[in-house]
Amino acid sequence: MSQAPLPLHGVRVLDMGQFWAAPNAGRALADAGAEVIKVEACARPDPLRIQARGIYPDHVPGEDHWNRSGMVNERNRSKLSLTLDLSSERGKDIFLRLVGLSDVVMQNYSSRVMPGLGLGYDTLSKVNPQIIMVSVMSQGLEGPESEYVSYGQNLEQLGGISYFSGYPDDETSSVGFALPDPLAGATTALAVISALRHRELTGRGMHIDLSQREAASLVIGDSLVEYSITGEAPARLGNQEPGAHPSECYPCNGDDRWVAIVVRNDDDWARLCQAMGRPDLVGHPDFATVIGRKRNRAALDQLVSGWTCQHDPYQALALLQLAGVPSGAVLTPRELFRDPHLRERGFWERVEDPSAGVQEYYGRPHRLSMTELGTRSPTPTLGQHNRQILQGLLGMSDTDIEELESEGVIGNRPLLGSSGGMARGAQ
Amino acid sequence: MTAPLDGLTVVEVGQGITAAYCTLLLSSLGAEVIKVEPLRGDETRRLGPFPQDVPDRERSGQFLALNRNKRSIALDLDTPTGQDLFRSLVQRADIVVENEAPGRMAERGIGYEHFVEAQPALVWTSITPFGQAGEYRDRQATEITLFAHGGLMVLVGDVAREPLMFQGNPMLHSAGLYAFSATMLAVHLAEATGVGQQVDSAILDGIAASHFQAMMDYEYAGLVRRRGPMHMPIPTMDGFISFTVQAHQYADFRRLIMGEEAGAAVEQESAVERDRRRAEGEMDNEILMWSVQQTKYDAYHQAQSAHVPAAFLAGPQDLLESPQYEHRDFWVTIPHPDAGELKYPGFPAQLTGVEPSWSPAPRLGEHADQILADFAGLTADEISDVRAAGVIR
Repeated sequence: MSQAPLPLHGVRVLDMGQFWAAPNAGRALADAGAEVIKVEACARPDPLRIQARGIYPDHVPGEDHWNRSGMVNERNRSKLSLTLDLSSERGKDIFLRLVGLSDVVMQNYSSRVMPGLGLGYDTLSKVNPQIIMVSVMSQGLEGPESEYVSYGQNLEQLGGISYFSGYPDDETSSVGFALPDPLAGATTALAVISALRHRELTGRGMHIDLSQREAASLVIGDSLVEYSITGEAPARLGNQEPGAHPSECYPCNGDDRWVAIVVRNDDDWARLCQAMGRPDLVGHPDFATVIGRKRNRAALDQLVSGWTCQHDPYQALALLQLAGVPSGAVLTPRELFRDPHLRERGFWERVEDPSAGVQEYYGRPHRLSMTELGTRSPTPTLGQHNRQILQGLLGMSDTDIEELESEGVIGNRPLLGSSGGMARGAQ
Repeated sequence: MTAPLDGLTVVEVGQGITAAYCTLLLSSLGAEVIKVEPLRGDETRRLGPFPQDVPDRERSGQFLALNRNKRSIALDLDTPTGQDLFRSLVQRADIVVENEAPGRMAERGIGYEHFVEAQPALVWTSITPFGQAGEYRDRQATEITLFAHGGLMVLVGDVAREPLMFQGNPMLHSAGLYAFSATMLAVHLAEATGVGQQVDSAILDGIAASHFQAMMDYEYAGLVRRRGPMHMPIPTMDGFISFTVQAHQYADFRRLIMGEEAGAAVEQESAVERDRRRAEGEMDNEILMWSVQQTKYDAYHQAQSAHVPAAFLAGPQDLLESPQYEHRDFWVTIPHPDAGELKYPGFPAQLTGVEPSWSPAPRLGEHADQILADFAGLTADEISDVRAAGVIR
C-alpha cells in the first residue's frame, strides 16, 4: 500500500469535548491527521477522568487515577492535552490566542457556558474569521428546551429512538443504551469535515449548532415519515424486523447465550430447515408460507429454540451461515475482542498508554485503500503537552509557564474536590 | 449561497438503507446525487406501510425519507449496455457510494479497479455488513444480526429475558454516517493531491466502535458486563417519563419530589449516606405519586426547570409537535407528486450561512433521459433504443 498523506494534516482542533460524543468526534479527526488539542481545566477535567465507573487497569485507580480511566483513554487517543483555567483572564487570553492559530473549536458544554465565559462564536470569529466552531448541544443553542440538561439515555427517549422498541408483551419495558452519543459523535465529525471544505470554497468559517436530539430522530427518520403517511404509530415489535417471520433472538446452550435469526422469505425458511437438519419441514403446511409462520409463531419458536438450545452461539451461527440464513451470535465483550473476523481485519488497536499500560481499543468503521487512519499516539495524561503547546505555538518562556503553574491557570492534576465537567450539558 | 459540498457529483448504487442514508446526508450539504436503481427499483420501494395498505413503489415512507434530493435512473447493470452507460455516469462523478455484495461490481466489470486508472481522483465507497475482506465477508446479515454480533445486543433489555434490538434500524443508518466521514476524508485528500481511493466501510465495525463502557470493563479489568436491570419508565397520566439523576443532582431531585426541606436535608448528608438512600430507592413511592398526577410534558418541564435530567418517551406525534423542533425548523415540508405533502426530518445541525434545500424523492427512473443526455451524451433516439432494449425504464 502506497501511503498518501493523512487527510487532515495541518488542521488544528481545540477539543473541549467531554464525556463521549464530542471526544469521539475529536478522536476521529485526530486519527485522520488533525492536531487535536484536548483542552480541560484542572478544576473541571473531562468528567470521565473522575467518574470513571471503576474502570481502571485491574481495578486499581493508582496514584494518578485520572490518567487511568478506561473510558477517557479509549476516546481521546491521538490527541495532545492542554489544561487551561478558562475562568481566569490569563486562561481566556491564552485560549483566544490559540483560537487565532486553530481551524476548529469543538465543545459540548451546556448552552450558556461558552457565551457566559465570553467565548461564544461571536468572540471567536472576531479573533479568527476562519474559525469553525461546533457546539454539540443536547437540543441546540436556542429554543424553549435549549437549556435542558440530558444524557444519552434521555436523548434516546426524547429523540424517539426508544418509543418503538421494547418487549411487545410489556408496555412498561423500554430499551436503553445511549445510542445518541455515538450517533452525535459521528454526525459532529462529518459536519466538521464538510465545514472544512466549505471554508476552502468560501474562505469563511462557520458555527455548527448541532442538536443531539435531532441527530437521534434523523436515524429513525424513515419511521417518522411512515407515520406521517399512515397516521399510525408502528406497533412495538420487539426483535421482529419488518416483514421477517420469524426474526428473533433464540436461546443457545449455556447461561444467557443467544443467537439472532432472521427469516426474510420462504427461501430463508428452507435454508433454516436445512441448517437445523430438518429438510422434512421445508414444505410443512404450518410453516412453509409467511402467513403460516406468523399464525403458528409459538410452535415455530419452540421448534427453532429446541434446535438452537443444543448448540453454543458460534456453533449455531456456523451452521446457519453455511446454509445462508441471516444470523448473528449475541456476543459478549470477551467474544467480541476475540472474534476472528475483526482480528483478521485488524480492527482492535494496541496502544501503550503512559499510565495505563498496554491496552487494546476499538478501531474505526472503515479502511481506506491508500491512507492508514488509526491511533497515532496514546491518550495524553492531563496537561501532558502544556509546555510543548504554550512554548511551541505561543512562544512562552520557562518563566511564563512557571507563573501560569503557580497561578493555577495550567497544571497536571485535577484540583481537589473537582468532580469534573464545566456543566454536564450532554454526554 | 455556497453549500459545503457544492460541485461534488455522487453516483449511488444503493439498495436499502446504508448507502442511501449516506448519500442523503451528502446531498443535504450540497452534493449532487444520481441514484442508480435496478429496473424493479430500490428494495425499499416495496416496503410498507403504505397508505390504505395499498403497495405503491412511489409511496413507501422509507424510500421517500431516504432518497430526497436525488435523481433516479433505473439501469440494468447486468447487461453490457447497462454497464457502458454506468461507466459514462461514473466518468463524470467524483464519488461512487455502493452497497452491493463484496465483489459484485467487479464481476460486472464496473468495480473500482476498472475506473482507477482513467480516474485516479475517484473516491469509491463500499458499505457492506462485514467489509470487503475477512472471514465473514460473504455472510448474510441484517440489523438485528449485526447488533447481536457487534456486542451491543447482549447489553440491551432485561437480563431475565432475551436481549432486545432497537427498532428503526439505527445501526444501518449509523453505517451511513460513518461512511460519509470516511468518504469526505478521501475527497479532501483527492482534492488536495489528485489521488482518490477506495473506502471499505463495514457496518459491524461501526457497531463494535459504539460501546460506552462494556469493552473497557473487559479490557481493563476482565469484567464481563451483562444487561442491567431494565431501566423502568415511570408512568404519568398520559405516557412515560424517566430520570437519569447523578449524585450531584440528587438534592435537586429530592427537592422536586419531596419539597424544599427534604432537598436541603440532602445537602447536610454525607455522600455515603446519600448514596445508601439512593440505592435503597427511598423515594420510589413518592416519585410515582408525583408522576401519576400530571402529564408527561408537565413532569418533563418541571423536572428540567429544577435542573433534574428527565425525559419523556417521545412518540412520532410528540416529535412532529415539539416546540423545540419547531423553533429550529427541524421538520421540512416537501411536496411529492404521488405521496403528497409530507413532513420530513431535516439536517440535525444549523450551519452559519448554509441553507439546506430539499426536493422530493424521485419516481423510479424519473431522470433517466436527462441523466443520459447530460452524462452520456445520448440523443433522444438513442435513449429510446436503450429503453426499447429493456436496459433502462
